Amino acid sequence: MVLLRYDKGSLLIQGEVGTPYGQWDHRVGAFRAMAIYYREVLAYLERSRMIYRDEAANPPPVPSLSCRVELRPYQKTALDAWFDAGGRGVIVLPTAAGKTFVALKAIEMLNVATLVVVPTLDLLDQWRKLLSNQFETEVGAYGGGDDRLEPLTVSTYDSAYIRAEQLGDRFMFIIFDEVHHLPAPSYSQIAEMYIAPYRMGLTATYEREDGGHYDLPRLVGGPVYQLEVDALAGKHLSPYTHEKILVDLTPDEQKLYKREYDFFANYLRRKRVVLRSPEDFRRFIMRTGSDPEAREALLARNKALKTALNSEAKIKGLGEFLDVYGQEKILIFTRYNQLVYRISRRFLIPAVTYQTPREERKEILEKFKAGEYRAVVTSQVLDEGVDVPDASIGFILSGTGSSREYIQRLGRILRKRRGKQAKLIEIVARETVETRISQRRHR
Amino acid sequence: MLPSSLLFTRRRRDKIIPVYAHLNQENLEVAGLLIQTYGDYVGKRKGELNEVVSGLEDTGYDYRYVRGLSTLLDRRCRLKPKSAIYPIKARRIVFKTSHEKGFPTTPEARRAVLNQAAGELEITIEELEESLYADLEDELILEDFEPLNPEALVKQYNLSLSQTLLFYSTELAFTTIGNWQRIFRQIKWLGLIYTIMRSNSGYEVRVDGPASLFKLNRRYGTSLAKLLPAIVQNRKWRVKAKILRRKGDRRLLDLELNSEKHGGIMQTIETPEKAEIYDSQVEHDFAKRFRVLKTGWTLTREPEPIPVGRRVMIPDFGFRKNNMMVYLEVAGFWTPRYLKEKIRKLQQLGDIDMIVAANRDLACQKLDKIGEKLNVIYYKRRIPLRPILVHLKAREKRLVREQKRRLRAEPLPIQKSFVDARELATELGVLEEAVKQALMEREFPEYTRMGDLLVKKTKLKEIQEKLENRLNSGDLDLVEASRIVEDAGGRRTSNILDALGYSIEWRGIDPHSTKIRRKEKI
Repeated sequence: MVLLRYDKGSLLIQGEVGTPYGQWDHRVGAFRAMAIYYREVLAYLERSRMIYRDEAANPPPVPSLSCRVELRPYQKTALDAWFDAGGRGVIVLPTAAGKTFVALKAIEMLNVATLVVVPTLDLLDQWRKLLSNQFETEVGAYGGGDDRLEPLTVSTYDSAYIRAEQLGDRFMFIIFDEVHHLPAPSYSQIAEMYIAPYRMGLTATYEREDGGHYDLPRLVGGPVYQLEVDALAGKHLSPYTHEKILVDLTPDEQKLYKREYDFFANYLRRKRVVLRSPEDFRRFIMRTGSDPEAREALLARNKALKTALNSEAKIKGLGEFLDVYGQEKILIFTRYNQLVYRISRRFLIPAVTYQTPREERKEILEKFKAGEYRAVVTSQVLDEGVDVPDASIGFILSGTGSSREYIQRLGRILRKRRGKQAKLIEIVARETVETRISQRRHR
Repeated sequence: MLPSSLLFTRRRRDKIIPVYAHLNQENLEVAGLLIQTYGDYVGKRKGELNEVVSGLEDTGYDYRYVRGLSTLLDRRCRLKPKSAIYPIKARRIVFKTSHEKGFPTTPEARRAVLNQAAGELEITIEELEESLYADLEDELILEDFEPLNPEALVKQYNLSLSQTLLFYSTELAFTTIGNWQRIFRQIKWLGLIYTIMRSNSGYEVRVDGPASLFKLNRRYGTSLAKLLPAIVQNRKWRVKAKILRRKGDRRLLDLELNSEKHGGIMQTIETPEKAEIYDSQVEHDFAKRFRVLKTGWTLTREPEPIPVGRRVMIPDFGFRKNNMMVYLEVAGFWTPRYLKEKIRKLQQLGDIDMIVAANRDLACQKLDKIGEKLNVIYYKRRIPLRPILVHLKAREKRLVREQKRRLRAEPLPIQKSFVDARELATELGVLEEAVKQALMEREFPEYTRMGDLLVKKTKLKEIQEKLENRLNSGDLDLVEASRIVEDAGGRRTSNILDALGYSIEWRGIDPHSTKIRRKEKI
C-alpha cells in the first residue's frame, strides 16, 4: 500500500516503494517528490498496478461552471491545440487578442478548482471581476490584502509563491497570465510546488532576454499556439501608427546633462571600462560596492539619464500634443514616478503608480474606462494587462530599452474598436543616451 | 531586516561575512546623529528629512550603513498627511473638473480649473495645491518618532544585516544553550525541517525546507532568517549557514557566526533570565527557588534537544555541573494523547538522566509504567526542591567516587609552589571534591598541607625569611604581609601566617591597623 500525501509544497510518497520522480528524504523517512510531478506519479502508480491511496489533492468542491464566451476561430484553434497537448502548454497571442477568453473556455470545459496567477493587482481585480461575471460565482483572491479561497481564485505571483505550501494542493488547474514572469528562480517554484495537473500559460511575448523561456516546457508545457501582432492588426486589432518626436533639452538641462555624463564617460575612459552588454553593466554595478569612484560615476550617469528622461522639454512637447489630441483617450507612460507626478500636477491628469492607494487606483481605471476621465499618466504599473478598449493614443515619455515593455505598452492601445486608428507617440530627448535606449526597444 | 541593496558583506574565498558596524566611537556618532536628526524633524516633511539623511551619505560615511540605520529608524516613525482635505477627495474633484474643462496646457487654464475645484471643496487654491498629493511619502509629515539609544540602534542594525544575508541562505545549522522550545516551535511554524546531529560540543541542528531535497533553494532563506533572533538571544550559540549569493553564482559560501565573536555586537535581550520564557508559574517558581540555593549546578531552561527517534524532546530544565547533565521534565497538564506520546518518548531515552516532576492532582499514575530508568517525583502546587537536590547530590557523589578512582590510577601533576584543590580540579576537568579527597589520601613530603592548600616547603621558608626580615625592622600589618606573601606567588595569607607561627592582632576591622606577632612557643 502506497500513501500519497501533500506535504509543505511537495509530495510525500509513503510506503515500501518509491517512484522515478521522488527521492528518499532521510529527514522524514519517506520518498519525496516535487508537486509538479503529481500527474506523473499517479500515472506511474497506475501503470505499475500498485495499490495506493491518493490524499494529495485537496480541492474545494466546485459548482457547475458555465460562461457565455464565444470564441473567435483563432481562439478556438488555440484552445484545441492546448487540449491536444494534454491540457498543458503556453498560448502566445498579442495583447488584446482575447487570451483571457481562451482561458475562460478552458475553465468551463474542465470544471475543476482553478487558480489564475497574475503579475499585478490591477490584473487581479480585472480577472476577479471577469470570472465572477462570467461564471456567476464568488471568486477568491490572494494578494493586495485579500486572502480567500474559492473554487475559482486569482492570486498575484508573489502571493502564489509565498503561500505555495498552503495553496499547492487546492487546485487542479492553474493559469499563468503573462507567463513570461514564471521562469524566474523564485516564481518557477510556484509551478513546482502546486500539484495542478492542468496548466496553461498566456503571454504576448514568449521569449525572455535571459533565455528563461527554455524552462517553460517543464513548468507549464511548451508553446502550443502562437500568433504575431501583425497577423491580427486591422482585423482583430486596431491599425496603428508610431511616431518618434525628438525634443531639445532646455539650456540648463543640457549643461547639467553634459557635466554629469562627461564625469561618467571620463571614469570609463580612465579605468578602461567597456559597457557593451547588460552583463558588462551588471559587473560595473557590482564594482560600485567596493569602489567609491565607480559609485560616484554611476550616480553621475543616473543623474544625467534622469535629466534626459524627465526633461522639461518633454513636458512642453506633451502639452502641445494635448492641445491637439485632448478629446481622445490617452495613456501616458514614463519610467519614473517623479515625472508622473509632475505631469499630473501640471496638466491635472489622474496618476497611477505603485504609491496610489489600491481603491483609488481601481476608481481611476474604472472612470477611465467609463469615459469620466480621458487620460491617465502612469509609470510602469500599467504596462501589463489592463484593458482600456477605447484608449487610442499612447505617449511614451520615457522607458527602458526593453522591447517587451514597448510591446506591452503598445498593446494597451490596440484593442479593436470600429473606426479606431491607434497612435503611439514617443517623445525622446535629442542627443542624449535616450536616443539609444529608444532604438533598443524597437529591435 | 534590510533591503538587499543595503547588504554589505565581505568575501574571502568561500567565506562570507557581513561587514558589521562595530561599537566604536565613529559608528555610534553616526547613529546618534541620525537619531537626533529624526527627532529634530518631527513636525516637518518626510521628504526634507530624507534629503538631510542622503546628504549625510556624502560626508564620507558608507552609504549602506547610513541608509541601513535610516531604514531601521523609518520604522519608528509615524507619518501623517498634512492637508486641508482628504487628498484622494481633492484629486477626485480636480480630475473631474479638468475632464469637464479640458486638460489645462497653460498656467491660466490650470488656475481656472483649480479655482473651480477649490470653490467646490470650499478651500483656498493654495490649500488645494498642498492637499493634492499630500499623501505621497515625501510629502507626509513626520508626526512622531520613537527614539532609542545609539548603541541599541547599531546592534539592531547588525542583527538586521545578518538576517538580510540569511535571506540568501539555503540551509542553516546552529547549536546553542537555552530557548529551545521557542526555536523549535518557530521551526515548525515556519514549515521548516530539521535534523539533529550530535557533535562534540553538544547537539547541532540543521534546518532547511522540504524542497531543499530537490535543489539548492533560497526559498527558505526568509524563514531561516527569522530563527536568528531567538538563537542569538542566548548567551552561547553558534550559527553556520550556506549562502547562495547570486542566481548565476554556482558557488556556495559559508557564513559562520558565534557568540564569542558576534554576540556582543548584535541586539539581544539584556539578561539571560529575561530571555527565558516560562510555560507556567510552577516552572518559573521552581527556577527562582533553585537558583537562590547556589548548589554549584547551573540551571538552564530548555537546555538542549534530545533526539528521540526522528523527533526531539526538549526537557524543561537542565542541571549542569562538570560534565554531568541531569534533566527535569515538568508534567503539569495531561491529555491522554499527550501522555501516550510523552511516555513513548521517555521510554526511548536510553541512558539519559531525567527526573520527571508530575502533578499529583492530575492523572499521572501511568508514569509509573515507564520503569526504573526515570525518577518520578510528585508535586501539588510547587515542585519540591529536596528530592531533586538529593538526586543531584547522589549523582555528584557517584561521579566523585568514579573520578577519585581514576585519579588514584595516575600520578597527580603537582609541581607548583602552591597547589590549590579548586585550581587543580579545573585543570584536570574533574570535581573539586574528588581532588580534595585524592589529595588527602596521599603524602607529599616536599609540601606542607594547609587545609586544601599545599605549599612547597622551600617556598614557605622563603616567605618566612622575608617576613622575619621585615619584622626585624619594625611593625608589620596584614596588608603588607599579604603583599609579601602574594609577591612570592602565594595566597591565603592568614593560613600561611598561621602555619608559620604568627598571629594577627586585630584592632577594629581595618586591616591596616593590624599587627603581626610571633606566637609564643609553648
